[in-house]
Amino acid sequence: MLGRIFEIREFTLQDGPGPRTTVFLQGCPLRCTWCHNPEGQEFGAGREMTDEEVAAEVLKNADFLVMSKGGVTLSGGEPLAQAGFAAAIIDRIRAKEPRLTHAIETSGFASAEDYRTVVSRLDFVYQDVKFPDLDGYRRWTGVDATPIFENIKWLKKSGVPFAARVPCIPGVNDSRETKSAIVQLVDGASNLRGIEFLPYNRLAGAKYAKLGRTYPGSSSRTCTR
Amino acid sequence: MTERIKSLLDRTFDKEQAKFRRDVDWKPLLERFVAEGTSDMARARIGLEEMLKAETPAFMDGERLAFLRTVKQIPDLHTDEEMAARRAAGTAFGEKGVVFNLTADFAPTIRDGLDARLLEIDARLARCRAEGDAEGIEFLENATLSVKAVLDLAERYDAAGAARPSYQAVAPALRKGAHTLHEALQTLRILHYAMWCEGEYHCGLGRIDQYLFPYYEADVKAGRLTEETALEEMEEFFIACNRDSDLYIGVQQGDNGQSVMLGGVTRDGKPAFNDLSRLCLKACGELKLVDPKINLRVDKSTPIEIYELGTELTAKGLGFPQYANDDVVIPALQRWGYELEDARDYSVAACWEFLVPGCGMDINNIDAVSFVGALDAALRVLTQRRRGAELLFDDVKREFFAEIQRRADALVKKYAHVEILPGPFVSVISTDCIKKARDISKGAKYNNFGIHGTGIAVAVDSLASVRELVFEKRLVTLEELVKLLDTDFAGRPDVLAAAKAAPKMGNADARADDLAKELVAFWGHTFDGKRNDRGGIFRPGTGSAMYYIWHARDVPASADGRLKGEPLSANYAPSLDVPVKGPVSVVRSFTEPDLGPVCNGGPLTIEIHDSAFAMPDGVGKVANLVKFFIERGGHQMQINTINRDTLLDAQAHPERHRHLIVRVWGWSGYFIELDKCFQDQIIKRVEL
Repeated sequence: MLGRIFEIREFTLQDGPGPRTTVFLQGCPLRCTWCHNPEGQEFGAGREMTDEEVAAEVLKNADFLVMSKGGVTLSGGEPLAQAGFAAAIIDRIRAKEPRLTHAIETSGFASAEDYRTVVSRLDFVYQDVKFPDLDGYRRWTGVDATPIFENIKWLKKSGVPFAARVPCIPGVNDSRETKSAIVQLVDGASNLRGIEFLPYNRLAGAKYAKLGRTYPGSSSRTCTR
Repeated sequence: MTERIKSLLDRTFDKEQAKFRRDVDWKPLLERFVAEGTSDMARARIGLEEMLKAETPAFMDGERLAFLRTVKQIPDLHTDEEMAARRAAGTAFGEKGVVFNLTADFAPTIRDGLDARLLEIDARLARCRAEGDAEGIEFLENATLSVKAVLDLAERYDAAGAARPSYQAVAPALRKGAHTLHEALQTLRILHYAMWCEGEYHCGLGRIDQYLFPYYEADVKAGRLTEETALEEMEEFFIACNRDSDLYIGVQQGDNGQSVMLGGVTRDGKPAFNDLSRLCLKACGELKLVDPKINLRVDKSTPIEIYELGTELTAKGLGFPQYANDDVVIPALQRWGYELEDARDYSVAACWEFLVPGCGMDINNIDAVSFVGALDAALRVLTQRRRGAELLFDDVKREFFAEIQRRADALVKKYAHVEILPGPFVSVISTDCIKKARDISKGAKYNNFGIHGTGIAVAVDSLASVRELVFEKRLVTLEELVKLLDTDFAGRPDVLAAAKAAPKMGNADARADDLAKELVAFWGHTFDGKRNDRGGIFRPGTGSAMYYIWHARDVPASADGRLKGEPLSANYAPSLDVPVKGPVSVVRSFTEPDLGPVCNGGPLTIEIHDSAFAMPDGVGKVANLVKFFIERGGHQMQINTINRDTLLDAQAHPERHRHLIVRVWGWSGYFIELDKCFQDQIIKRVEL
């Protein structure tokens, strides 16, 4: 199966349990005004690869990933925009090396079928939650986020461990009320492993910082399993 | 960290100790030596005596470990003319010629005290006199006086310190042997201090977690120490290592060879990592100082927790620990003739050159072969060869290796006759010198020479580029390429771009890694069968020392796309500014070659971006990377945690970055104290 990717990066440290190889899939249906890698947005860009080629590239480091209890994370772009390709990559890798864990970093903007097809294959999900309501999404990302909220609702009951990731954009979604509404949206799920607030830097985008990682009012833990 | 330690730490960092220092002009002493034709041995002893006599006992408030340098200069024992004359007469010297890059055998003297050494000297001296062994007599007489000079300063310290509250006398344990960790550390401090005063430099500290452990254990058992107070003892000792270090000799500030080795196995092969090893790592993590430089021995059975303890220091940006792999190093040393028990006892000399403390008088860094220079010369030889059969890439490799061999042979010849200037005091605290009645400069159990190999990655990348550009794509002929090297690829941006795009070492790309394997395999056996006139062998390594700056000045652009003047990568590391996939591929590439035969030392040196440690589990993840390197048969590894933006800011605003530490080539130093060329080279390293 053919798909488009824009990078395969090894030794990513903030994309799941253990060191990981992150596959960045090309193309994103959202147009977040703060996006810091717009080169990942266009669907026609990047390079074409088969799921077999992607798997082979990832598996070059299988020995290290197994030893260090790491795995593979699909990111983007929006990886679920190529859900079939994403699922095929996971299946290929798992067939060759069942000991690797699989994770995704997604906006959740996908059909219920695509979302469930991929997420049910995963060991961990980083679910972006940018806003607690449709208005915010409409205004700042240009999409009708109904499927995102539907998918989050399903995720909370799916049993697949997940962390919520919130890019904190100054003046956009960083008010106390917004954050607290986001926490309420995901809190209470037994499979929730943490809520991560990522401070946004104009140049580097949303990055981890030593402080401000988890919401102080939240009872949830950070995202290690 | 206790308040007292914090205060000592801050004041030491701010160089409060410098207020005790004075300049001494030693020229009259040197003139006296020349006028009187004083022997080398007597000069060494008199130099130490005069140096210690000139010292004034000095104390920093709150300290419990005494001994500070108050005299800035150490006497020169020979004039430049004298040394030049000896060189002209066919004698070679390693660097300054004195004993250096060595770790003494501190343990027996810490245990027995210097009085025990004096008794041994007396007994041996009687035998020398009976046998008419003039050389033995001269050594032992001067050794006695050297020891007395050290004891004399200790006693002056005790006299001056007696009035100070909570001062603990230092001379009794120094004379009769230490019983507590505190006494052991105090004696160690004095012995180490005296070595520098005798003129030795790059004086390592060795396996402190092993030879100090009995004192620690006894103190804990007797209830004299708790873990907290033991930590305080170690921290005070480590701070003391930073007091005089700006007076030590080195190419750059921080290059002082105060290395410590932790962990590994005991002489009988049992796991050696203990509670004191743990305490040492903890002390370094709290202090965040450049000295002592921590090395950590590991092997494939080392649990990940130990790597994690080490990585905690890496995360703090200290540039150490540097890891050494027992699975590779011990067998390598055995193959080179080291006895198994000695091989198991290895430490590092100053940076990374493997050395057995006490019985190694190896000159581990006597010279270096520039692989980049050798390849450049080889390419020129080939272009001047008479036309005949078509040139093949194998011819390039063959000529390159032949040139390495020529350069190696030249070094063997250059160091056919090496002398070391004597050090009677360091001999007293080294293995078997008294027994043999010979100064350590005359030879110890091991007397090998180490030869660095500079620019491995640039040479490999250049070879890969020659193969692709000249022999596969036929973009240029070899003649054209060599001309382009002299003009920095002028007029041929396409060739430069192709050179930069050619396979590079560090990407787990067999098109480069296979060449690295061949080069390392050849280099590992270049000196087979060659011996030096001290009975030792030549040990090739993958280190560069400072040659990565120096050798880069001797060559034009290279075929990998490196332009003239751009530095080489330090030690065993990807070329500067090359695109690499990431640290896993780097580890994979650099563990493809068999590293046993190049175990003079020289670590894989990588730079990890400090964001790796933004999440608490970053430590575990990086620890796994080190473990992966060790499990794949890597010999040695060091990791810098840096952030290019921080380094650039430090160049612009040094005053804001006084504490910023970087790993330079085999040691950690303060970034702002480095010469700009060394700073710039670090900024150009590949950030992973």
